Amino acid sequence: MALLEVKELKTYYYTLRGVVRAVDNVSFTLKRGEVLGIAGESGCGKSTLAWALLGLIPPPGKIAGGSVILDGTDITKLSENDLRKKVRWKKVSMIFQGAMNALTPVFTIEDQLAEPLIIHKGMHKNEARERIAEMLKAVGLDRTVMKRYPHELSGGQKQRVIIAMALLLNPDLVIADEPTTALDVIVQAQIMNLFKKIKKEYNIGMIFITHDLSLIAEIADKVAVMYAGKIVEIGSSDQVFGNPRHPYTQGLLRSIPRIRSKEKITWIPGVPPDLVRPPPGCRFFPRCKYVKERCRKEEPELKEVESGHFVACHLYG
Amino acid sequence: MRMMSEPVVKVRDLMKYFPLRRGIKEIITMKPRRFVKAVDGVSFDMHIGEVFCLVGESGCGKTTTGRLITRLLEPTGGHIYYKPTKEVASQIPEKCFAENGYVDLARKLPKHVDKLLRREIQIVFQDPFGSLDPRMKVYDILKEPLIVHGVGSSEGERREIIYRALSEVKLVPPEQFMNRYPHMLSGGQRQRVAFARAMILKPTVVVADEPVSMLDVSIRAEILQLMLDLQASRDLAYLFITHDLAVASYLCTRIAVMYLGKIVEMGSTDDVINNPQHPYTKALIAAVPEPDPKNRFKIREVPIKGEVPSAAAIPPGCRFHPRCPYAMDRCSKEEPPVLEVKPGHYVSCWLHTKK
Amino acid sequence: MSSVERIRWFLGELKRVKSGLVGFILLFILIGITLAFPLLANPQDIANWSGHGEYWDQKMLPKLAPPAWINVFSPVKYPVTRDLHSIKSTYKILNMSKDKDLMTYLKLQNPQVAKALEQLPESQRKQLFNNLRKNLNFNYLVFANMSVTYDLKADAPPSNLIVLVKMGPIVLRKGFVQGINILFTRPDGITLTFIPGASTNISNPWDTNIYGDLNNVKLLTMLALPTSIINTSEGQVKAIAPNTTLRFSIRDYMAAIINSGNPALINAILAPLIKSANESVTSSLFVDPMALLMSKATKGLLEGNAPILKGEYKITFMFLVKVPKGVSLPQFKVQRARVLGIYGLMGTDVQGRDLWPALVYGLRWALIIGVTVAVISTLIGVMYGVISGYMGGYIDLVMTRIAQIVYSLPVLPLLIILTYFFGPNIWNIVWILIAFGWVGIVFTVRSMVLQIKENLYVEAARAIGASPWRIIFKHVFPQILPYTFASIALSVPGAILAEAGLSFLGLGDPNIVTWGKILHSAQAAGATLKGAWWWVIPPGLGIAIVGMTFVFIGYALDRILNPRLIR
Repeated sequence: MALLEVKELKTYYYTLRGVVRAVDNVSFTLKRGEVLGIAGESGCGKSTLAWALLGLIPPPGKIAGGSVILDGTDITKLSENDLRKKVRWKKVSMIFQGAMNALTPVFTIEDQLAEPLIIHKGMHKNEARERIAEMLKAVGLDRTVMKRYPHELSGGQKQRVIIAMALLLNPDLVIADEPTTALDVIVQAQIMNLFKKIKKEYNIGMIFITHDLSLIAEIADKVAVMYAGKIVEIGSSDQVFGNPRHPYTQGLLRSIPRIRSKEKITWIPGVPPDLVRPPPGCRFFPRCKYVKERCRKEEPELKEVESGHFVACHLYG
Repeated sequence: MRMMSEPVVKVRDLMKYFPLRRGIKEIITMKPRRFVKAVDGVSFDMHIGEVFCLVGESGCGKTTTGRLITRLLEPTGGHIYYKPTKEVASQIPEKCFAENGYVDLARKLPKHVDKLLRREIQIVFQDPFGSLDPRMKVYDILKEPLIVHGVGSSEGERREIIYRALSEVKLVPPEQFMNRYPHMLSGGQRQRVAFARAMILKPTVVVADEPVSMLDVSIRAEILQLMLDLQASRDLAYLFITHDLAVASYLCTRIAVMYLGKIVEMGSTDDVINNPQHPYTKALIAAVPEPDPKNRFKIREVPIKGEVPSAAAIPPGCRFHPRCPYAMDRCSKEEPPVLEVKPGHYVSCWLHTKK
Repeated sequence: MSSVERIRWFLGELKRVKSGLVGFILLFILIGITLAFPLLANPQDIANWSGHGEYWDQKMLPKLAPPAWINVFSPVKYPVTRDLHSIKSTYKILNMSKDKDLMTYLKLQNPQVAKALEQLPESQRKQLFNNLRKNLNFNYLVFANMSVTYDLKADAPPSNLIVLVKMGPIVLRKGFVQGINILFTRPDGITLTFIPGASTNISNPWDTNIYGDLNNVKLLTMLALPTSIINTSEGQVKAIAPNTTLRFSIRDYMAAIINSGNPALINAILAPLIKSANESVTSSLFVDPMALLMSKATKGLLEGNAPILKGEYKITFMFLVKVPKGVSLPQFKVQRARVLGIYGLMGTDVQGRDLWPALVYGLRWALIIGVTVAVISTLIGVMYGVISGYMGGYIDLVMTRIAQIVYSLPVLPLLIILTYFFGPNIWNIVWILIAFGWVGIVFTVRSMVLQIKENLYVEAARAIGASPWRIIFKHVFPQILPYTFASIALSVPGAILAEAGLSFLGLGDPNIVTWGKILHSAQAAGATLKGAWWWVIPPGLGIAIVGMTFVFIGYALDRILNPRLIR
């Protein structure tokens, strides 16, 4: 059984300006021990998708439809109480964007890491201490970090603490939203190595969200490309990187400067659409160089172009 | 691209130290003042038609160097030699010149010279939203430099200039953009406005401080291409500051790698990227991810240890030695000199000295 | 955006923040009221507010009277202040040089002699008359009768009844009985006379015995009638001058009698009433004079507990005046008769001044003082804070220290001293309030500027080469502007209260009327102890409403213009 099955998920923000269709009919599955990378640029809905999986969508947002089935249970139907007690952090944990700056400055690392253990597992401070030390070692930090305060740690160290915090309760699924954006390139590489190590040792499912396709290649088994609230292409890493089909994916890959090749990089003209009034038909058509009449009227469905590789584009039938 | 043989900017031993506040104990025991040595002796040349890149991680001093060149900060020491065009030079009194027609920007200059030279060196910032006053229309934002420097004798003339500036950065039709406020523009459009503002006074040197890192990946190349187009149509030298080696390798002519306030390696892009000499450069290059799915099966080896130390407590000798996998005894005692391993390719590392 | 677009956008936003809409509507109403002051009230009332007792005397307003509209809410209906117009007058003259009149006079004086004289032959009679005339010391005998009727329909007696009687000349000479009688007839038929010694039986109006004598100094004092020396063809005589006004205030007159401590006097006047009520008087009474006169003659009358006697009351002024040779005939006229009860839109104060004009006029000063102090002190404070914050370094240090010193000065003692030295002129007060008011906002603005200074676009402006002043005015100040507007609006109530406080303490400008001044006089007169809520509550409420208006406006301005909230 798949660890996570997202079916036709719709998450909308009901604002005074109108209804923002942040996540509009998204479906995918994730197996245990598999890493799904969600690639997309600003405003594509990837963060909203992440929050929806934890039931943490900020108001005025709401899940407007679809289901999120985690280990057989549809968590969209659970009460806030159940979500809090049974799902969050125990089954699913999250590394938020900029989380390392969200560490409370007045508590030690030990206190902050002990909190989930005390609340969810009912541990005592002393029991927790051992588990914390174990966790810190697993993320490559020394025991002495426990007694320090967040401002005494470097960016990389803080991010490791955050990752430790996410893994504390042995969740089945970890969602990481831009976990390395604020980090320098060397620290980024080290953190990515840590993720690779965790993936191997813990065999947990992971959803890795970022705008940097290179990072996704470093960790993900499966890749979903999001644009304007929809998944436009999804498949295995090899398929999506090796044989990108959607014009957006192609454009995205061609816009990455490579340090080790001299290829000219290009860009995608235009801007992402307003999610209150998205264009009719295919949401990408205003920026697509292959645009046809059909694209302006009919929204393309995800079609299988090779085994396990789906693309939502009229170029493919 | 016209390359002039003489550099338009010569930076020599540039330094910027920020004093640290002293606690009572330190003042009483009369301990020597401590400084954050953000820029600690940086030297390089910039040429017209060239994109000179300062690459490094956060805290290496590249942003501070950019601010120093633009004179938003006062240097603590060193020289910034700038050679103005003949037209501008004629308006500067003899005594302000250092030698060979260069003016040292690091020295205190008379007010009118100061203002004149500000037109010559402009800057584009990293944050496309923050750098534009949210209460001003695009038209007013672009008009401001003209008003400050008295360019354009009538409103009509100024309008013409602004019109052209917007066309140049491909914000067309200009009328459509002139009356908009920054929050009505996309990130890419705002950055174009920032470039238009920098270019409107026809500067000779433009410092671009991470101009694309806050933009969507798919439009970064558009802005980078814009930069190259702008340079092609005028005599311009860029100082490109970034932490992204991949972008640097794509755009720049020459690269200087900075670490803790010093340049550790400098050379043409080809030399530095394909034949890195300094261990730090090698580590940086090794750390850059690639969109190759096979990488997920491999741990990315980055030949470096530890973390970046604080710029208030710079390690003795070679400042990189605590993190260097090849550190020798000498490295912890003496600072390595700058060596030219190949014409135009400089390294500051003991590994390259013949004993 | 052009100005028109800006205004339209602002109005649209105003609809969103309802309190702002309310605030602005209220503001327009208040300004309208201020401008319409001459239409709403009498500017003369204000011009004569302080130190012009004569003005208010002639207005004859009740003192400390509640507003006229309380009758709508009160179960007990109070009489409303108004002039009485049902006045009847009679004027008869007996000319002593005419035989017939002389005969009438003799008949009245001594009927037997008159009868005997009548039987004499005419020639003898004439001769006797001429002899009589030689001995008579007056040429005319004048009888005047004026009655004022008042129909009491209310459930409570009026607070006073005042009749202005124009009279004179009346010559005052020993042996010359100049008769005066003032009668009070009640609906139950009981008649009193206000003149001690006079009679209530007036069947024969020519009988001098039924009158009191104006020659009596005590009586003149009781009636507060001034005498003077007038010129006649026979020389100078002491008299009540022509066109003298007898101001007969029943309440004041009766209060003096009741509180005199003279039971004989009280009995002399009130005997019929006391007898009907089966009471007796042994010492001073402590009862409201009007209640005493206008309640049923039953037990409890002397304590003021008897129920009200409604119906027609009549006050009659009777004069029997001898006019000697060379003096003109006296004129008698009821100039004005007025019943005093509840009055006006806002009642009156203890000096009988109408409070409604004062209330409306006070609004003008409240707005002027409030807005002037608020605008000027806020602008000064904001500019000071902006310059101090942006300049930094020593300038900032010195400016902040100065502000801190001014901020820690004790305001009230200094205010008192300064008003003492410079005089409590309203504009001095305004300047002083500004001098203390500008500091408060400096620290907040300075912190805001310290933050704004770090914004990237400020750095960008510096990179372009803009001077610090340009940056301050074009980039920093506009960010503070919304906060400035909101701050002005919110400090208006404070300024009004500060002035009101000063006036309340007696330090205000004595020449103008402000709400604080009204409250000050109310407190001095013990208004709250006396239950005069109409004196205290309206100005207080006024201050609160004006304050509230500006708070609404300020709150709405902040919500609309705060850049962080701009979408």
